[in-house]
Amino acid sequence: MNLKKIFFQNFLCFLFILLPLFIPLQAFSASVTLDATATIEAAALTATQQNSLNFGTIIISDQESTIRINASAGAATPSVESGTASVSGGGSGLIYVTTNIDSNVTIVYPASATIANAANQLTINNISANSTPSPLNAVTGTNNEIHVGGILTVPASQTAATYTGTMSITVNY
Amino acid sequence: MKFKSFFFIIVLLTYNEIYCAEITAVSPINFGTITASFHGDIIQINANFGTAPPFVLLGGKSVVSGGQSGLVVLKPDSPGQMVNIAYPVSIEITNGANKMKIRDFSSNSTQNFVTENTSPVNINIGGVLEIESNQKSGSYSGSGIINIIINNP
Repeated sequence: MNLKKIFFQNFLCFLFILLPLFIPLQAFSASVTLDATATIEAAALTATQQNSLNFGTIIISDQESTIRINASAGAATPSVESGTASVSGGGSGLIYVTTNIDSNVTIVYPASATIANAANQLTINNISANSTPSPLNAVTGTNNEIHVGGILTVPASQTAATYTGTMSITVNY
Repeated sequence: MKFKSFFFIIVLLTYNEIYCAEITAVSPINFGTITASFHGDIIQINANFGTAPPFVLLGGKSVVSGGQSGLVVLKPDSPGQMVNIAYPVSIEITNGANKMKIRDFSSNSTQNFVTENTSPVNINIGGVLEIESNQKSGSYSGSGIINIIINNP
């Protein structure tokens, strides 16, 4: 074997076998898996009655009267809106709303409510217009107040007695 | 003759180097505990410039506590390695049949860079979590693939 042949053999060995092994790797890629987590908790909204809606003691007259509690801007007391009855005592209802997130809360009032004594009844109307407006901007860490009012109609011949009843008020996120 | 061919190969071995890098996922991206508004919200972790906590985007009513950006550590083999990071467009995290989407990884995470030395480099992972209205409570989890392409000097 001459020197030229040996060199040629080495060159071929390098070219086809060794060269690919020693060429610098110019780019390579890798993948990594990244985990992701989150925990969702439900927002909580509670409503608790603090004061009942109380139209006080009404002395009726010989004509129909309406007694109004206008609590649209806050706590209020009853006043005679029409007729010749007189009223003393009483006050708007109060509901505390608590939440664990700041949120606008929708308040749904009944169109009317009935209070009764045995077979005798009285009707409270215009509750929504005389109560805290909806939506209520409820914030965390405090008792958010809903004041409840309305207009009570007392006919002239209404039987003297204590009238009671309930109404449902709904708060929603 | 044998000596000559051996010498030839030794020269080749000395000339060539192979640069690599070591990549390790250290901590997950965690959006924390979210008291979610019924109307839904967007929670963001902006880890462009380092480790970051989640926050509720302006106007959101949800409350978030805890949580942190994800972390991947890259240990380069050489200065001058160009590191290109390909984040997923979005991933889903699930809790049973319920799911949420995390998106915008690319704009909220460490950008492409060139290694300055062989010290470990933090790749901080952020993103944007979409909470739908009336999102169900629970622990959501999922995973995504991050491709890292390294161009050697």
